[in-house]
Amino acid sequence: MASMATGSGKAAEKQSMKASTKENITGFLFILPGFVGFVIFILIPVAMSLGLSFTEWNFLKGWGAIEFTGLENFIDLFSDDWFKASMINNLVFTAVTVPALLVLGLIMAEIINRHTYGGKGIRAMIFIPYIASIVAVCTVWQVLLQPSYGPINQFLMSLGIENPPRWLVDERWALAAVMIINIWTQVGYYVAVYMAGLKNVPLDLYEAAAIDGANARQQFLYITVPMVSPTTFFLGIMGIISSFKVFDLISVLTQGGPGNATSVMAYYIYRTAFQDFKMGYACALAWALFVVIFIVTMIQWKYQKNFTNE
Amino acid sequence: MGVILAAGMLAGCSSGGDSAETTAAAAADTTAAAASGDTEAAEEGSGEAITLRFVSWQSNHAEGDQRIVDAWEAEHPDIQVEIEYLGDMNSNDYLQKTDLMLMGGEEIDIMMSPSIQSMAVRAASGSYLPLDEYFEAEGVTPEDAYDIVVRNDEQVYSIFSDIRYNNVILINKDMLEAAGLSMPDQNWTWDDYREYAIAMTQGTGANTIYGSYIHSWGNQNLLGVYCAKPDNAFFNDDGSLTFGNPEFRNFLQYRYDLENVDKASTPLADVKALNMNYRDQFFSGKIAMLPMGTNLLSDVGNEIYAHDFVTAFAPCPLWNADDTRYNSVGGIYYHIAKTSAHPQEAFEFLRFWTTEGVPLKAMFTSNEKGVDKMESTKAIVAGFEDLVDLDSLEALMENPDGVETYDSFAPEYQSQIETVLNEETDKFLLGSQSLDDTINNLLTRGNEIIEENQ
Repeated sequence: MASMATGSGKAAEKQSMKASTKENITGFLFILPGFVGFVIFILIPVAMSLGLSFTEWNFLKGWGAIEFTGLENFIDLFSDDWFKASMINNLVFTAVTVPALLVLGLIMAEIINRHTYGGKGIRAMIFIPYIASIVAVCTVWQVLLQPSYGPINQFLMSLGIENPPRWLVDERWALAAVMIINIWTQVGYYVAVYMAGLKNVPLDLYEAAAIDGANARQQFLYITVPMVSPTTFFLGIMGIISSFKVFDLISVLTQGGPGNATSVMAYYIYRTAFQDFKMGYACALAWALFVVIFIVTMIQWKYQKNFTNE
Repeated sequence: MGVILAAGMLAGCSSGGDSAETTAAAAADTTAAAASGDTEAAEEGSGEAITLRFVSWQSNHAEGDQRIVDAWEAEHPDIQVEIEYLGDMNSNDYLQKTDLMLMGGEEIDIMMSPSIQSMAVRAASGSYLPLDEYFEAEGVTPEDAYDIVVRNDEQVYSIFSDIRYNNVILINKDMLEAAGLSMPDQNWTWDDYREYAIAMTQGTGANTIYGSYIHSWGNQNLLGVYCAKPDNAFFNDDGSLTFGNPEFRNFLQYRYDLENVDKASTPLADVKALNMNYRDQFFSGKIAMLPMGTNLLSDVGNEIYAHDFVTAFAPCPLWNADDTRYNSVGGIYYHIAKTSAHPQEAFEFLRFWTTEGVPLKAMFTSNEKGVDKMESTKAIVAGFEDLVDLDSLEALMENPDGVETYDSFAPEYQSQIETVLNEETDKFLLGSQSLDDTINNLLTRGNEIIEENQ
């Protein structure tokens, strides 16, 4: 009896194992196309860039010119003025644009959502800069910010400011100018996402608060802001990551200049790799950028619960 | 299931494609053989015909380029040439694209480079084939075939052609006459240039017409050095950087004053803030004088820049009227890429391109030995002679006191030094760094690059 039971149990196990192996194989086959793509287009290049970051390589000379140099590239980072300037510019860029976008985006979304007629039209108008070609946007801003007779400086001069900043060609103001342009182009996206978030806030909360005597400011601070905090968290993370990767604006507007006043990591990596042909050092720079983004994102995840009330 | 299905479909597709191709190829073969009847001719026609791949960035020259290719193909029906334009007229974009193509092993036969420094770094890293053996096989020495031959490490990696005179001053003659000025002498100085620039500046605000315009390239700050020494303006004979030379320092201060004190030259801030195009500025009459190359001659007749004033030419100003006059010559470097499948045919075509081809294209001056430079230059302006003051050009090119010079060398790292030059001079000219600091930084950073590469 007992032996029979074990026997049949084994057979069943064997059969189920077979079935589960089969299932596994089918499963693997299903993910195979995506997995092969992932390996070829993401995993291998990432591993290669890590490997290359320990070498010196002018890619014009072909594969044979790769020379292993150990940690030299990473040691060089600490004495590289451009790296330091680019990193600081990146941190300033992120610290200013992301909070500004979050605050502006939420306030504008709230105003459009609750306090205006024709909100859809206004929303579309605010969204246009986000979908417009960045090169076209930059050209328009270059004309607006023209230092001696551009409309913005003409206006400042008519207000009595004698030496208005020269914006994009002024070492002290170039980064500010780039940040203003970035905020202007991105805010439409933040408004659109916030408006979707605001739709999920139940109206009865506002009614209850109004009955209790809360004014518009209190309603905004104690109902709207907490209720959209998951949206804020999402926009915050995405904003930080994308602001660390900002490249197109810099490339079109200033090419990192004047001097290194607007150089950011992505632009410096590009320059090192494709203009100075130092592929190894460029990979080391890219990994340094990765470490920074990784740390920032980990901190955000850790405090996610505090942010989102969930 | 899905995977199997997809795999099946893929297999189906690929096998279908294969068989279709094979049939097409077979059909082509049969028709070729049938059409000629003669087997030998068929072999020559379909078997040996090759196509050279020529990659350029000068899409504005497509018409002239095609004239050369047509003439060549008429003589050599078995060697077709296909010109591909990359980089949308921007030689930097072009170089980046071709670098990546070469790295990927893509087959290219003929390539170009715009400057000695961009060519030096690529010749040193083996992007181009050395041409010496091809010249030898043809039985000519490069120096007998061309006036200017550039060698890197004793080897010829390029055929230098399509030449221009660098750093000449283009003058809007109508503005010159309106200001009551006469054409400058052949030995005019930077002081004269300043007087001319001030005299021709007029208007205010957005409508200012500036007497002078110096473009935003970093190497424009070497103008004072170019006119004072032969060969590469970045380096002295002993290999030291020219940033410590008095001419360099004086020119930087001179340019700053001309733009910010005399307000007679378009300020660099405006040039950079609006990404100005110097051709637009000159041909639309917003500036009176422009230091640039004679390669702008062909643009005088270009309808994109339609205008009705006469363009005159003056040489690059000197520091003192009795200094030696150096006429710096630039041009395009043509190369055979390391991935070329038909280097011999590519070489033959390049020889044709840089000799018989130059007058067919008629956009640049010839570098061929024995060809009259002035005649070759006159061919460029055929059809719009009335818009160019040819006498002034002739006076400049045939000046008996002029010493012709060109960049005969450039170290691999020169483009890195040029980047530093750009950054530091920008800081000075835009007013955020003193002249002393600028020169010091240039020398320190430049010498660091040199040391790194020793």
